[in-house]
Amino acid sequence: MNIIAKKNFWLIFSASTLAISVALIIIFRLQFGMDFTGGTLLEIKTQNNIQITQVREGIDKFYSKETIVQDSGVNQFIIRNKINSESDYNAFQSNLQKAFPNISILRHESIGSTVGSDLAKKAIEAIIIASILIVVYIAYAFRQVPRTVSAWSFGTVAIVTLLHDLASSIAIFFIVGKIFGYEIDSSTVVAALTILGFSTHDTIVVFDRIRENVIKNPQKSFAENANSSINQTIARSLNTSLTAILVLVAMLVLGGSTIKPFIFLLATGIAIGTYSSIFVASPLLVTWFERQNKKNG
Amino acid sequence: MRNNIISIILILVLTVFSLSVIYPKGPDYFSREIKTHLGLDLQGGVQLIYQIDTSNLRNITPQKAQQQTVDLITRRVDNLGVSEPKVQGTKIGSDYGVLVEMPGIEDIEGAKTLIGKTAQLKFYELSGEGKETPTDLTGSDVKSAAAGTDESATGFQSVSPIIYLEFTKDGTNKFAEITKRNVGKPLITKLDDQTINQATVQTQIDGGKAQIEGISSLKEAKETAQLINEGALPAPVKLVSQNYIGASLGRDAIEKSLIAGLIGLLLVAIFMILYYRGLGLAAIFALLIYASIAGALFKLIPVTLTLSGIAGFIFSIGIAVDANILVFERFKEERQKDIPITQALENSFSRAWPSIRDSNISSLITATVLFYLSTGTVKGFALTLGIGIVVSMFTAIFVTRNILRLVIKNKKLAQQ
Repeated sequence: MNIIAKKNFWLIFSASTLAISVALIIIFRLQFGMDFTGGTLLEIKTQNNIQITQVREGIDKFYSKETIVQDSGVNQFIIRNKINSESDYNAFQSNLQKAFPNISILRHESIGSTVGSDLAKKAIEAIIIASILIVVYIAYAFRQVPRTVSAWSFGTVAIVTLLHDLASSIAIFFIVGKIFGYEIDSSTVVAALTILGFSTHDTIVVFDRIRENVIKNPQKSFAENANSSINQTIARSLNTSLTAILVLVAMLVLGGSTIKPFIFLLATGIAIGTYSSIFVASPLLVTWFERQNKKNG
Repeated sequence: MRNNIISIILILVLTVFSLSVIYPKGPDYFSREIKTHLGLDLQGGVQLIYQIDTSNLRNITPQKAQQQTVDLITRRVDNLGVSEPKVQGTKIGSDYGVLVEMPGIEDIEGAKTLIGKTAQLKFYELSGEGKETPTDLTGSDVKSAAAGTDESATGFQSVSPIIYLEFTKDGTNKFAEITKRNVGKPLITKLDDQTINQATVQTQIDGGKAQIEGISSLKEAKETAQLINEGALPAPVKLVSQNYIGASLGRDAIEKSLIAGLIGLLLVAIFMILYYRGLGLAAIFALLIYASIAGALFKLIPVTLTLSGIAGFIFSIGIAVDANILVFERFKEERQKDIPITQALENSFSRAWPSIRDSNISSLITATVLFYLSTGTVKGFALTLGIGIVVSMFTAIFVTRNILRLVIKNKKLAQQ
């Protein structure tokens, strides 16, 4: 399979999907959940049969502001709104129990807005610091590549690929989330960071092979070496993703409703990470290399 | 050959030790009980985060106030009889806060009122214009407080709960001074700025004893006396976040994620054996050893297991499988060359190593950054993932390699 020969096609294709993803994120603005903005979540179970519309109507009678109600099991509902002070919550809960005397509260979470914004700040900090450290480590690990290839190019391309994976999977999560009511919460951050780790993991395996082949076959062109590296590692890339996705699909089907958005984002990210390690990272690296060599004559 | 046997023995000993730690009733190796710690999301319970209002601190730094608040709240929580509570200082943006976790608690509202009370006792007198003015006597002048019922109450009167106060030496002098200048006038007692008692001073009191009447229930009197004894919080606290998870929901989450994880792993095992045959079998064996070592570490450290922690662990299994796949794909390539099988095996491990090392180190970097920068769910995930990566590098390389060496050597002997 000659992927490098069609590298321009793959790069343009990936750049366009990335552009669409970023555009989607910007136009529709990501809906940050209560973990970031503050708010309240209640999970209730009723003893008698009750429809979701009845729950909505019941709440509308005493609470006029926006409230989201979702099914989470048989006669089990998740209620979310923007209440973020204790006294408001207490009033809400007692009204709810008055309106539906037979409910039991399975779960309740209230988060003040200051706690929320702190979480978002820390997550962004973590992503930036981890990315910088990974670039530095890759540059160090690839310091032995022949001088025609810059060790920094490996690290930088790995991070560009990583950003591609993050943006694309978040965009897909966002679209699917619109349908199933997924919110961006702290577990989304965990998933995003895992994708970060997995994406570099995948990219490094291919780059590692490129490093080996460039040293072993100096007579071949960089593009040739890159292409054989992709082909030599493709079975591994597909098998690894397949095993990871097997576990994740099992958890998506059988796991509890609370972890479904998390697992979905992980599976999406892993699939995209595998795609990009083959079709984005190496083509980008070869393009970088060829431009560099043209400049240097 | 000898090295191989020593390694196999080492692996066996490690596995047996790990399994004995995992075994439900954990042994007493280090003269302490080894048991699995479950997080609130699996066990059920409540997590409360309080923000400390440090705007009106007197004579102490915010750090010191936070420490005192943590100590006092720890005592209050202990009195509630919660098993394994966690009370620790935390930062909310740039503000100081306290995080309280109480597993398995039933009466959350009761716990919240008790924990969040500042318990600042103050005594007020009336100034010339009839305005309430605070005296210099406060809760910190109280040596001890006790709750009781008014023994003098007789007949039709309902038994009224009372808090008996005994002042320190300093407090006795202050109280004598206050009662002296207020004979015939009211003295008002307030707890957290709410009047709990107002009484007219009959005579100067030198004995350093006082009582507060008008408490609505004996339970409240007891709790208030306890709070006064333990001391007031250095600053008011505000509840900014609470997270309650019912025990049934937690049990449900454990069952579901365990079953899902096991089925997922079974699928992986089937895939590995179908695709890589004998090699796959060795990998699954190494994976079982991996799971037992990681499980034992979680218990020994101990790691508090949460849903996200379990996710981190399952993810690290994926990384362990990946290391094996890298080696096996290499092995297939090496087998196409004209070299002995033992050489092909050694080559495939040594050639796959740089990939395994570099990719795992970058994952480890992510896990470490996450662990130090984050809190709560993210931290739990990072911890189990980090432990998983380190253990998986060991099992995927050392354990699988030695198992395969043993198998191949025995095969060769059998062929001879």
